Amino acid sequence: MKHRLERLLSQEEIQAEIARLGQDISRDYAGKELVLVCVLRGSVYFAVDLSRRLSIPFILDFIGISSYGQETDPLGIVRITKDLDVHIAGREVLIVEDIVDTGLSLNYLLRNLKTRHPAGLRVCSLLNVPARRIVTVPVDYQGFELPNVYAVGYGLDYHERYRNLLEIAVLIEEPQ
Amino acid sequence: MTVITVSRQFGAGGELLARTVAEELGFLLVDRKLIAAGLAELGLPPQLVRFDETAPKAEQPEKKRRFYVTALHEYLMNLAASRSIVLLGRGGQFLFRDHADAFHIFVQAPLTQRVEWVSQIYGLEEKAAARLVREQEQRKRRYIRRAFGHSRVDMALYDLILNTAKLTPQGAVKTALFALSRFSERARQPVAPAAVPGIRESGKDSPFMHESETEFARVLDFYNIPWQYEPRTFPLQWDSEGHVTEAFTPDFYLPDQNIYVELTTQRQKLVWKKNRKMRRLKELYPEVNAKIVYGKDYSSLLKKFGLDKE
Repeated sequence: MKHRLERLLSQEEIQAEIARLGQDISRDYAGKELVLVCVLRGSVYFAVDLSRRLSIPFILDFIGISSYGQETDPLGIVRITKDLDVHIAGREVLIVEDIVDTGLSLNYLLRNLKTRHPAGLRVCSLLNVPARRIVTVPVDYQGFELPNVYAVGYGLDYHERYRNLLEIAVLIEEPQ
Repeated sequence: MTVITVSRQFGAGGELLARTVAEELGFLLVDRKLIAAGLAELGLPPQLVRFDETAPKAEQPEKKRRFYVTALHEYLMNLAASRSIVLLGRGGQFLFRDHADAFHIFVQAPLTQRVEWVSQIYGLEEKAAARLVREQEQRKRRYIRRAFGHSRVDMALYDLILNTAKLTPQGAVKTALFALSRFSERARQPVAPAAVPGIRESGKDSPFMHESETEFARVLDFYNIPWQYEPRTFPLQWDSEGHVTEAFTPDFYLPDQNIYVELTTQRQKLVWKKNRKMRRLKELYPEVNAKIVYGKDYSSLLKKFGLDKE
């Protein structure tokens, strides 16, 4: 698909928003045992920067889930491809997402993690696209609310491209 | 007459449970063998039995398959009218969903456990057993979707869900018999049947009108989101004699989310008609949650899953 990129959020805007989120989270989780659950792979960039902005102790862990359409998916159903290394029972858990749009994968993740009996389970997403929501999911900490656009950069990809952009851009289709 | 339906994950021991429950209660076990004999007696060509619990992909003789499914359903309904049965598989949970004296059991076990059992019973390597389990599960899902326009994951359809890994197969039988004895007691009490949304009655091969709907259903199945296809039609306009002149049937209903979803892959500027219907729906049925997934949303979904053309 022929396309071009149009800048949506600059590096400075992103980092300022992450600093704000870091303050809010540090305030809300003061004195608690926090586990940051970074959802592979797109959220890694955000999770790293967010964790640097936290002024409270925390454990950083990663989880991966299969995505629809992956040829490697053997069963035709979503599954964990990389599980957490830490036990979250009785702990405060904050899922760190790069973007929440349809809510499908986050819905699965919430259902899965709830069965492990965390003390609390919340969601922090840098980007939120409520216009594309199919299933209802909570977003407790939100960076930017986006209109119905396809965003890339800062971890978000299009066919594995553009993850490494420092800014966030809109991918715009161009006539062939 | 009483109908007990037993749906099962492949390798979870549903067949054993159905057979034992039927023996214990003196009910007729309806399985592949009985169905083949029963349909042959009715004059159905024996080669059609190959469509039993299957829903082939493309380029298959669909008319014949649909004919088989219709004949099967009629046969099962007639059978249940004359005697009590235990029906193994065949989408019995949907077929007898509104049957006043039906009890629906689902037999499951964790995947690793089923693969292990299948490996032992069929004498297969673990990898081959896993492949068999996967293929059988996909086949069943496809059959249910195409015969009933429904995903199998809606647990609300079942009255009893048994995990044979926890209970052992014998324990599962005992639990089922105990639950059935309680069910029989309750069945004697006159209770008003609960209102249940209808499922699409379609004689068509696939209930879906468009490829995008098929894909959307697959996405929902993947993320284990229960759905129903076109379960309800909302009248929007009536003539002076009260006849409905305009109606709206959203494509999907997601019961866990309590939301109706209408898919449209038309261009944005051509969807005004659907937008108008949606506005009217909200006016007349404010309690109903509904949304349109536009072509742009759908295209983003495909992009996200890497399914668009690069």
